[in-house]
Amino acid sequence: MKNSYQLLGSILAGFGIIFSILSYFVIGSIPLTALGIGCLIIGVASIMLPPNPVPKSMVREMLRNSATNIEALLEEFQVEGRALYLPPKEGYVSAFITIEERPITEIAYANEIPLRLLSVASGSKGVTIFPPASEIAKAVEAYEESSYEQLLNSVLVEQLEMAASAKAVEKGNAFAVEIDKPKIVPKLPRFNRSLGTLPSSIAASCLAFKSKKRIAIEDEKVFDDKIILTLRVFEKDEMNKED
Amino acid sequence: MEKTNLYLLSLSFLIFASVVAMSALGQDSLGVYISLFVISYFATSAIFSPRRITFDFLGLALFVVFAIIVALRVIEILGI
Repeated sequence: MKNSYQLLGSILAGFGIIFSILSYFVIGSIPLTALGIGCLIIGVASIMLPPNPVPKSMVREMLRNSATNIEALLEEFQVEGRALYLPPKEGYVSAFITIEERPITEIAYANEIPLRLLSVASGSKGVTIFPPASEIAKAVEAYEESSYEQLLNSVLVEQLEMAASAKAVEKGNAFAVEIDKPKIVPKLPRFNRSLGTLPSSIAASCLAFKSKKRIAIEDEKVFDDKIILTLRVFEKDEMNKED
Repeated sequence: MEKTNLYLLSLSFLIFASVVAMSALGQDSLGVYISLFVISYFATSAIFSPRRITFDFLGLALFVVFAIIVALRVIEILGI
């Protein structure tokens, strides 16, 4: 819930004021008056608390640092491939990236991709990393009931204030996503090529988290004021057919 | 549990425990209740140091009230 401390605080403070006045002047009970004053103190203390205990700017900087670390890792392994976002395992979304450039469909139907830094899927060597927002979608209240677009808005707009708005449309085995006015697009060449820009990577992680399917960024167009993404979803039935 | 939630829960517990304990002891002075609330508030604030969006004006108000209660009691004792 948005600003839940303020809402709870206002209700408690309002109740406390009315209850203490009634208790003192009408009932004439000191303990009940004290109870009302106690509610007022808790209410006002609650109103003064910030809705997000960790500042959003700090969270954004942590995500940017996480992306920089991944960039260093990709640089070290000379990674050239594109990322395949894997559904959450133990609550974390991971991404498998082939070291050599390979078509994403070659690895998308691999039976099992081990959760190790260096691993092999469908004969292709690659690295498995945890993208910057690998479990951020889990923190969004009631993400299961929300639509894909609502989830992206909750994470990118409300939780991180990383964009002005986000739109997501599901078209068969693909998602079309538009991120308006993205705030942080770090210049990290390997990260941007493999995982997509930071907002796109967060969007892909969220969609993989919610859909519990393998997802890859098929196309990404970065403009000054928006990012347009096409993400391909690899269905389980489709994967079984290939096996 | 988050520190902010722990702070609110602890403050609520201490305030309600003070009301129950003092009313069970038959305490009929509002000053005693408020003094305990002030102590509870400052104790929980010192332990959890919650981040606030504004200056702690509640703390200031409670401190002023506490000072007035103590001053009145001192005047009463001294018989001024």
